Amino acid sequence: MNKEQIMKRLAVLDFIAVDLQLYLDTHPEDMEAIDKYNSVIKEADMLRMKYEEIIGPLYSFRSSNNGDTFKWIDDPWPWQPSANFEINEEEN
Amino acid sequence: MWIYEKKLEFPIKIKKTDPALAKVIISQFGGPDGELAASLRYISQRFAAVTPESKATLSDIGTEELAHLEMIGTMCRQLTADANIDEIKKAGFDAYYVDHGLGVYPASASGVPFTAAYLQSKGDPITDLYEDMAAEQKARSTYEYLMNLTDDPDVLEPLRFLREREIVHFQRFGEALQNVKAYMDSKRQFVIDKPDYMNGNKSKCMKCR
Amino acid sequence: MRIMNTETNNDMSCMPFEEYIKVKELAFAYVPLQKICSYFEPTESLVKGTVFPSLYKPYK
Repeated sequence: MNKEQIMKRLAVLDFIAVDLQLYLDTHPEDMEAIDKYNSVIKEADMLRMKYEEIIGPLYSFRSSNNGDTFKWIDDPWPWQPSANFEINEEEN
Repeated sequence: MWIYEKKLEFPIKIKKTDPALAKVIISQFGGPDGELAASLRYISQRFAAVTPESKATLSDIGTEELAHLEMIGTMCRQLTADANIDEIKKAGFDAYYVDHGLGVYPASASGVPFTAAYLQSKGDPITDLYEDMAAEQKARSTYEYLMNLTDDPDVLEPLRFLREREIVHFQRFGEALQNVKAYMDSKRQFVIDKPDYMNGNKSKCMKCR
Repeated sequence: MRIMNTETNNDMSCMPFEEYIKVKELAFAYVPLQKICSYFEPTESLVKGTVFPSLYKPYK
């Protein structure tokens, strides 16, 4: 997976987790939805490790620093176009 | 507490400079039905919430609204970052420019600075949820008006996403309202039938999953 | 009171919400509870803004 593919896949997985989380807030006993939520979180957690290794730290005070400078401050920040990607519905 | 995540909820990559559009989209940053008001509303109201379901819903939607605030700020920034003085004047962005340059400032499309008067935290969990449902509808309308004002796909895609989130949030607040209502009534008498999922009955929907 | 979802064309196997809403009093708003019937594909979910087809109500 290249940088753009990693960014895109993580955005997709995290979004599914967000939407399922809100559903579970009002349906806390739906075991099927909990199973789906868990499987999405599991895949996202694994991909997040790859993201931080290849692209950079995702969280303030939660991501460890690889390298001899503090990578957190590095560009791009989320509002910069280069931190973003084109979204294409066709590929899943 | 909150943890910042260094990425957008939905990608934004706008190629065409358009200060006139930034001037109206800013309303969803600091306007009456904007994302800042939404987030502050829910993360203020949650302290008076009474059921686990409504506490979680207010906390999580309040958090997601901050991610939307970041998306709106990003759109305003990308629409203006490369604007020259001629474009700024022609777009009618000059009044904003005099006060804020190309910075992103929480104000409405008509230039009124953000105020907490846009939101309420009434201390009554039912009243608050009604306000929240109305707020989601008002934000949905705003996104539709914004969509009417552009045909740039780079702008339309995130606006479409944000508008759909308002619909999902409306549904969740509606469900939280039923949940809070059942809780309030249960102190006196329990008259609302339990929904199927509480009885472990999922037969109606099993085969379509 | 029975509230039907007209879009399912009477397909009772997949009502996207609880079939019965007990309306027990005036001066209160009732929103049906969602029931999951299907999901959008992963990338499609992000593009559309929800993973739930039953909540997808596009403007244009």
